[in-house]
Amino acid sequence: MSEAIHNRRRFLEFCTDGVVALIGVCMAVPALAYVLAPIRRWSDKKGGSGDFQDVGAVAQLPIDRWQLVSLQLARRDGWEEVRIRHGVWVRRSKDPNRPVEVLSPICPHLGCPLNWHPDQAEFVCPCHGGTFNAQGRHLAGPPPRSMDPLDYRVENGRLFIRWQDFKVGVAERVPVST
Amino acid sequence: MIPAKGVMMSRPVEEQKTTGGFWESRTGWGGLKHTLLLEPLPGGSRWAAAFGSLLLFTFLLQAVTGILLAMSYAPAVKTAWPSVKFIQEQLPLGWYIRALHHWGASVMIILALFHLIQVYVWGAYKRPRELTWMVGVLLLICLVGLAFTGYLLPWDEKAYWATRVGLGIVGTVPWVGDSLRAILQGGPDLGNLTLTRFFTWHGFILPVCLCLLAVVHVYLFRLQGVTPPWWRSPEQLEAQAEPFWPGQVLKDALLALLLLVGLGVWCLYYPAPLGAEADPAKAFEARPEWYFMFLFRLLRYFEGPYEVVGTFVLPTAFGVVLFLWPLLDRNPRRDPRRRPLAIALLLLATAGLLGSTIYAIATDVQLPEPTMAAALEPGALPPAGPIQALQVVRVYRDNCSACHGEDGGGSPVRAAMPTIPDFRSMAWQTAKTDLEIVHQIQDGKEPVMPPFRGKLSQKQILGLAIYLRAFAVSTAAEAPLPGAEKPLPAVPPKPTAAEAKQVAPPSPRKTPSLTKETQPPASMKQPPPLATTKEPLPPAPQPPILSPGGPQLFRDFCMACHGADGRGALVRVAMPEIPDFTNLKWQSSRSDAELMHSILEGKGKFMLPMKSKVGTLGAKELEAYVRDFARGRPAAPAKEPARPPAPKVTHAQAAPKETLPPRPTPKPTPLVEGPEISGVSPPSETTERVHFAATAYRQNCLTCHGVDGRGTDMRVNMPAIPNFTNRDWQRSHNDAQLAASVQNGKGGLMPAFGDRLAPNEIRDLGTYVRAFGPPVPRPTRLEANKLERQFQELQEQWNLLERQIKELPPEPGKP
Repeated sequence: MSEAIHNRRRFLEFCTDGVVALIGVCMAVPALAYVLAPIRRWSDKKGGSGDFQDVGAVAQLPIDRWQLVSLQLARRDGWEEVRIRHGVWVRRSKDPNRPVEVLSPICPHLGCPLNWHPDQAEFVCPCHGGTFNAQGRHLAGPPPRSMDPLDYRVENGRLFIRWQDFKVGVAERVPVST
Repeated sequence: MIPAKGVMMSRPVEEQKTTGGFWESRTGWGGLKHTLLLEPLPGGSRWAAAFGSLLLFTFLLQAVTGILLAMSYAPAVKTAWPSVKFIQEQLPLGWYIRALHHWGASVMIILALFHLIQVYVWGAYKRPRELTWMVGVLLLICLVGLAFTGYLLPWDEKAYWATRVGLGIVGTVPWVGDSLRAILQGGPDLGNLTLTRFFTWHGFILPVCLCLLAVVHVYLFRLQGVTPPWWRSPEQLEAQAEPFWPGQVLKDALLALLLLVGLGVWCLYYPAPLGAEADPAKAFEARPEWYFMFLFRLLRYFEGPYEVVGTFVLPTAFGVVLFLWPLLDRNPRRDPRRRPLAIALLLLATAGLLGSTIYAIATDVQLPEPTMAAALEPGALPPAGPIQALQVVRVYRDNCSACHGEDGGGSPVRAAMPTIPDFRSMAWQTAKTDLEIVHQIQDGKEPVMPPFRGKLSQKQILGLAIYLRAFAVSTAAEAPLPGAEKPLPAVPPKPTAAEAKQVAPPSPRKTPSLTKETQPPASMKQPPPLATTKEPLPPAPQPPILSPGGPQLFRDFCMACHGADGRGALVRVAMPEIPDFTNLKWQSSRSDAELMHSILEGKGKFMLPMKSKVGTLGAKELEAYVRDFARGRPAAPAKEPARPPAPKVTHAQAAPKETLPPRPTPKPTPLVEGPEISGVSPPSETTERVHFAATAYRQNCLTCHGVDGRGTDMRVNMPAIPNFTNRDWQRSHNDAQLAASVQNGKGGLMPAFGDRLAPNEIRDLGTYVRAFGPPVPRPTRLEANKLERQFQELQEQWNLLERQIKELPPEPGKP
């Protein structure tokens, strides 16, 4: 193969590669922008997820016992408005300064739902065995931090709770927008 | 991925073959590439050989965009359309991906047809490449299947109806049609199961079939080698041979890039359409995508038992012949000049397909938008009118549109029946009375127009006759107002004059009478038809330029009941629910949206929907005007223009009338007034009075009594409302009675207008109402002095009446 032909061939190959690469880019850029779009929404940490929701009268809650109450959120989910329910651990105390405690049921380890075990007076993670005491403080197992308290307020004897997701698996408490 | 591949590809072939580097020894890439890409092409690379590769590329594009769309698409009745809308409007670049997929489908169909034609001309299906061709035809069928199934997925109106028709066509297949349809449809009706099935076909089954077939297709193509040009000798081809890579790949890639960029730019400007969500309850002008239009049109020509010829026999026969073509065409030559029959057939088929597609698209008539809208939303028309109750639009479609066309133009059969009328023609509309039309529908018109007596109810026929009038509306609305007089004899001369006057710069003294005098002759020759003939059924849209503004609209449509001061005191006895616009409490209890809704859609028993009369824009202005009442706007302006000129001061007061903007919809005034007024050139004072009467009617009476005086719209709620066109009614009420009714009201519902209109105005109004009556028994031409005399008589009767009234207890509401 002569030098000229060889060079021409190299040039053609180079051009072809270029054109094919260009096609790839033309198709990949919009495709990636489309696929990766959720990243941007996840990363803007606004914290908090909406308003305080009424979960019922405080007086109806049992005293000094952890109780799961449900919290309903309206959320824009894609093309429609959906209602999702979350369970929240609530305990009423006689202390007038801190009438209730509210804890997120999401295990800070990897996000399993925590259960209250009255017999051992601990929250136990069913997945990886993490345990928390009756105040939600981390006792044992892999969770990197204690249970996450949720914002609440009491108005006219009714309890309002604001749902919040936190990033799991890290020691500090980082709100994740939902 | 692709660039990386490219980097490897760029290594010199020899190097790869000899060294067998790290990757080569592990993947055998060099050998594969050699097999795939380095086989010599006889005759070298050619631009013309790129169609196949381009098709493959578009398939890749469709696959990529399709997968992306599938990420955010939910195939169910409740979610399909919202999710597509979400993709279209919310997702970043969703609209663009969807546009690529949508238009890419059309591009793919076009490319496939090009590819087919090219292969045909080249004779590339001949021995030994018959199987390649056959697999290609199967690929084409897959492609059509993809187009059909993909069309439904957005679940908009177009998708829904096109698929409905498509499934109907499948159902006509002999013997197995119903089963086939059931299999495709999945459920008892077009719905969730259809969507999931179609999605599966479109996203899984057909693409996989297409991939497999494409592999076979390409394999066979590589096995047999590219079909060399017929004009080269084998020696020449051998001499020019070069490997597929990179020469041909470069050409393919360049074309692909060009296509991608072209398509990309196109998509920037033409987003994929997404219609309203499918609603089977709504009428819709169903049309398939353009590449099925020829078939769609074809089906018009097969009726009854022959339907299946169009839906099944012809397409199937075409497909089978296409599939078996390599076996049917035994001529071994490939040079197109040496196989005239095959080429002639190709030209015929291409011209046929192309021609019928173009013909189908070009001659496709859809109902004009205003008519469509009227047909779609009952709220767009006055409620409970007989026309709506009878579903005349549907009756027309079922019985008339086949010949007369959706637009009334008669275009579908004009070639065969040159005498078919054009309903849009003003000349035709004015030449026919309602009664004539009714008779023609009832009894038919031999030999081609069949009689519909017995097939349609009397009411339906009457409704149709009125509906036909609507076809002329759009043209009438388009006609420039002052120029309307010449070619259209029935367009009333009076309004034209009035309009001309209004359009002209205000010169109160002379202009009216001048214009008037120039007009009459035209109207003398042709007595206008009954008032109804003008009734604009789906009312003509208001030209936006002429938006008359809140005050004028209020006077025209609201003042009759709500009063110039917005208090509605006049009619409160009859309509206790009428609000007082000046009441702040009422004002604050109604949101703007509620107000708009009431104006547009009507409210309660008596508030008529104004959507078709004032449009959204007008409603906004009205709303603002109504709101203004709360701010204590004096009622005077509303009343001013309505004030009739007292005979003595006519001209001086005529000025305010100039502000009346021309009303685009055909008005009754001129029609009915035509004969009396135009017989002679009446003194301008009289014209002024008649004009005032027309205005007064419009502002005070039209809402209930209707443009035609028949009171059709209100009869449902006010059964006692008279029909002014009824001869018996006209005979049984003398002028004094008329005046008394206007003055004092009548029954529970007719308000007393005594405090709104002066006695002479009321008298003129009575005369105006007379004009609705049947024209025959009345003198068609009144001399000026005769008219004056009539007024004199009326005046006397009036005076008498007034005296009687004076003796009665004080009138209600008189200021």
